[in-house]
This record gives sequence, structure tokens and C-alpha cells, in this order.
Amino acid sequence: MNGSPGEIVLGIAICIASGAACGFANGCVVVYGRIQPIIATLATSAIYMGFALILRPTPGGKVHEDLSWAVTSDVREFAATFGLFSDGEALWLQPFAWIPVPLILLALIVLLVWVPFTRSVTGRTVYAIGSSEGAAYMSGLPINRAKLAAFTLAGLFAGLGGLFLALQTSSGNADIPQAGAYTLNSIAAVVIGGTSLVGGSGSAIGSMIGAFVLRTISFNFRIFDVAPLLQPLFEGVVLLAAVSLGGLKLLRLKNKLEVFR
Amino acid sequence: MSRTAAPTPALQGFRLKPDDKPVIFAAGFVLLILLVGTGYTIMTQGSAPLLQPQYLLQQLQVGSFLGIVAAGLMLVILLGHIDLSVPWTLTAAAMMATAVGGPWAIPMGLGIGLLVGIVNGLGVAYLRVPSMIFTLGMNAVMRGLMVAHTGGFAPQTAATDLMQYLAVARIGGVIPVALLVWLAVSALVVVILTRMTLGRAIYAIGNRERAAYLSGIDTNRVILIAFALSGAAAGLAGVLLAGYSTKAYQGMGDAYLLPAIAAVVIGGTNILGGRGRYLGTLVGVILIVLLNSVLSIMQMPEAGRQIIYGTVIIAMLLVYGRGERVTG
Repeated sequence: MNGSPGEIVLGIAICIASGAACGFANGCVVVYGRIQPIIATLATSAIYMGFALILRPTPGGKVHEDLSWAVTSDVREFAATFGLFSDGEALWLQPFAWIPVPLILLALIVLLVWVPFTRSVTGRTVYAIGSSEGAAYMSGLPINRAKLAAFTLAGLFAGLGGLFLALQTSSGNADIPQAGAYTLNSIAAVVIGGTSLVGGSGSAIGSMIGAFVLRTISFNFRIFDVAPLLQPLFEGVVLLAAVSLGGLKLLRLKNKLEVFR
Repeated sequence: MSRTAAPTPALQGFRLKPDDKPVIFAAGFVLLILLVGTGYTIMTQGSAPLLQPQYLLQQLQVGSFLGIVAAGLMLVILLGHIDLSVPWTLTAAAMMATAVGGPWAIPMGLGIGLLVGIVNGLGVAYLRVPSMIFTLGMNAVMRGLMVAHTGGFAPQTAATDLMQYLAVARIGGVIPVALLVWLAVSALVVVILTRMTLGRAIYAIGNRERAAYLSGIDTNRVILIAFALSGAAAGLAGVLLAGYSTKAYQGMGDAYLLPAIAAVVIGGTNILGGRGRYLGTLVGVILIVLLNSVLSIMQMPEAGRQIIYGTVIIAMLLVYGRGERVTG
């Protein structure tokens, strides 16, 4: 991602499109191949990692420095970098100047992708499939289309995440442990955010809050001055304790059978 | 996705049983891998080292670590759960075993595995936390404990002689001891799954936990035991692996989780639980080990290996692992 503005835009578009294409391929394998998603995506992730290693055998590559600085700091810097609104010093901009650009990008994604998605038939069908696929099928909902859309969007957002990671670290890196950490942390964020792993309930907003919770845990280490060697342990224990709190709902059940899905 | 119970053997006669199909296809694929690899070595070196017993026994020795992990994981997958804590359970068992040393090294490693498994089981069965997320959390906790224990460096302690004997030695210079350990674990799993009420209960819970509970099975206890066994298997694999490489190191278990899941699933075990035979897992492990070995003999770069690896898993599942069409 370097060169003229046109090339940068093209690079970003390719980045997002490749994410969406990978997601669409996952969807095809799951929908038309009828393979269990968890194992199918494990296998495709190995394939994509192979392609990533071919594209970039060693960490490196270049990212446009101004762009990377602009989107990872706050609004004032963003404007200053591109010489907008008298370099970010315009009076009307001051109330917003402190807002971090990533937060705005996040809000844009919610408004442009998530809100329309939940209001469309496809989005409602995704929820319906999670609750009961058989019932969704009998109601004549477009099951295959919804599944393909869900997987494609997941891929698209993974692509966006990768794009932002590249902007933040100013390089590209086909790093298997790093990729694994993102998989696991994103699952954790979704669950902490209140989405049922069985499907049928939850929202992207909740997942975002879940991700904030995860990040806040590690941020607190600086405040409470936890020894660096103990930090991974605390991260794990807090995560475990958070999900175990869900066990409290068992105390309220009247019928023991409701324990089982 | 509706699931059908494993049909009783008596009803099957001589037809190809649905549970046999994965085993036969996977075994066929193992032969195919060997043939392709042999063709390659004949073309390039004019010899066929892949068909020598020495090579095959060595592969089985290397494969026994994966095989033991997969054996434990299969019990959990049959329940319809999954154990993602394998990597750091394995590493923690290896590190603590080498740290303790002496005659208590192996019991220590097994005990760590068992303990992690029991905590997993308590969380999944009694707290009803989804296994995927709870075992993931346990994995993070074990990693944190080990980072705190070692200070983030590779521990300086060495594996005991007994651990090295179990992992490296060969009886009469031919049969690897590690292979015998794997066979012993396999025998135990087969006995549990086919001859014990515990095994029947595992299949029953995998099919429909509600029904299993109503028929008087203490489902929570069965889940706890299965997770404990899976943890112990990971601990045993860690002890052996530490013996094999004479020491424990950070991230030694990372390369075992996904291949183990893949081996279990390629062997025909349903990832949603309730169906699968141990023989399939056995063949699945051999398939994965041979595939890795042949690809490295062909000097395939890491990228190509990943792509082929993923493609093979999907292709195998397209042949026999497809779910049923949803029709209400």
C-alpha cells in the first residue's frame, strides 16, 4: 500500500475484496459442500495461510506512512495530515478533535454494514437459521443466500481487520501464531459480547463491546502495575471467570432438562 | 442437521457399513500417498525408501505423539464438545515433568494433564460454559502459568532417562517404545468405547444429551471423565515429546491441536458428536503423519504444504463427511 492515491485506493480495494472472496469460498464449501463449518474453515484457513506465505514469505512490505499515521491517531492529526480544515485547527472541529479515527471507522462500519444487514431479509434469516434451521427452511427463507452472505461478510471484516493491522504495524506478515491469536480472541470477544455459540442471538455491537473488554483487561495491567510475566495468566483467568459467570443462570432454571440444548 | 444413531452391527450384514466408509477411503488415501511418494523418490533418487519397514516404523514413532493426543481428543469430540486446551496442556505437562525430574516426572506430567482436564470438565459439564470457549480460556491460563513459571524462556531442565526411553528407545532395535505406548492408549480407548458403559454413554450424549439424561445417565459425570481422559492423553503426549526432544520448550504443543482435530474428523468421527470409530482416528493419524512426511521429502515449501494440507482435508470430507440436506 504505497504509491499514488489511485494505487493506494486500489490496494485497499484488493485487500477487502480478497477477504470477501475467501469468506465467499468458505461459504460455498459449507453451503454446497455441506461440510461442518468449524472443520471446513480450519482447512481453508490452512489453504489461505499457504497463499499468504507465497505472497509474503518474510515480513515486510510498505504502507503509505501518512495514511497509516492518519487512521491510527485522532481526528486532529487526520485533518492535519491531509491539510483539511486548516490543518485540523478550525474552530468548529475542536469539539471532535480528540475522537480517535479508528472509533469513527468502527461507527461507519456499524452504520454502513451492520444496520442494513440486520434489517434485510438476509440478516433476519441469519438469526432464524441460528434459532432453528429446519423452521427457517419451512418458512421459505433464503437459507443458502443467508449463509453465503454471513460467511462473505465474516471474510470481508477479517480483510478489513487485516488491512487495519497492516496500517498499524506498517508491514505485512504471514504469521501463523498471530493469525491463531486473532481467531481465538475474536471468538472470545463474540462470546463475552453476548452472542450465543449455539446461534440465534447476539449482535455485532455486543461483540465490539466484548473486544473492548478484552483490550481493557490488558490495559489495566499498566494501571495496576502487574508484573509482565504474570500478565498472560491474569488475561486467561479473567477471561475464564467472565465466561464462567454465565453458569450462574443455571441456578434460576426450574426444569433440569433446560440445561441441555 | 439431523444426526442418526450408530446402527447396531447385527443389522448390517455384509454391506459396506456407513461407519466403515471413512476408514476405507482414508486407508486408500494412505496407500495413494505412499505410492506418489515412492514414485517421486524413484524418479529423483532411483530408490524407494518409503516402502522400507525402517521408514514406516520411524513415521509411526513420530506419529505416536499425535496419535495419543488424537485418541484423547476423540473421546471429547464424540460428546459433541471440543478440547482446545491441548497445546498448553501438553506443554505444561512437559515443562512440569522435566522440572520435577526423577521418578515423579511422569506421574507429574500425567497429573497436570488430568488436572487441566478435570477443570475443563467441571466448567463444561457443571457450569455449562461452551467447551470451545472454556477450553480456550484454560489454554490461556496454562500458557500464563507456564510463562510465569519459566520467565518466558525455554526451561533448562532435561527430560529424565525413563521419559527418553519411552519416546526414543526401540525394543530389539526395531520396534519403537513410543509406538507401544500409543498402542496401549489405543487399546484403552477401544475398550472404553466398545466394552464399557462409559463408552455407550459417550455416544449417547453425543447423539442427544437430553435423551441420555432422561435414560438415567449422569451426563455431567461422563463429560467430566471424558475431558479428564483427554487432558491426561495430552499430558502423556507432552511427557513423551519432552523425552523425544530431551527437553521442554515454549509452544511445543502448538503443532498438535489442528492436526489432531483433522485426524479425528478425517477418520469419520462426526464433529457434532455421537458417531465415529477409533479405527478411523488411527488411520487418520497415519494419513496426516505420512502426508507431512512425504511433503517434506518432496521438499515442498511451507506455503505449498499448508495449501495441500487444507485441500486434502476438504477433499476427504467432500467424499464422505457431508451433512444431510436440511428439509425441515
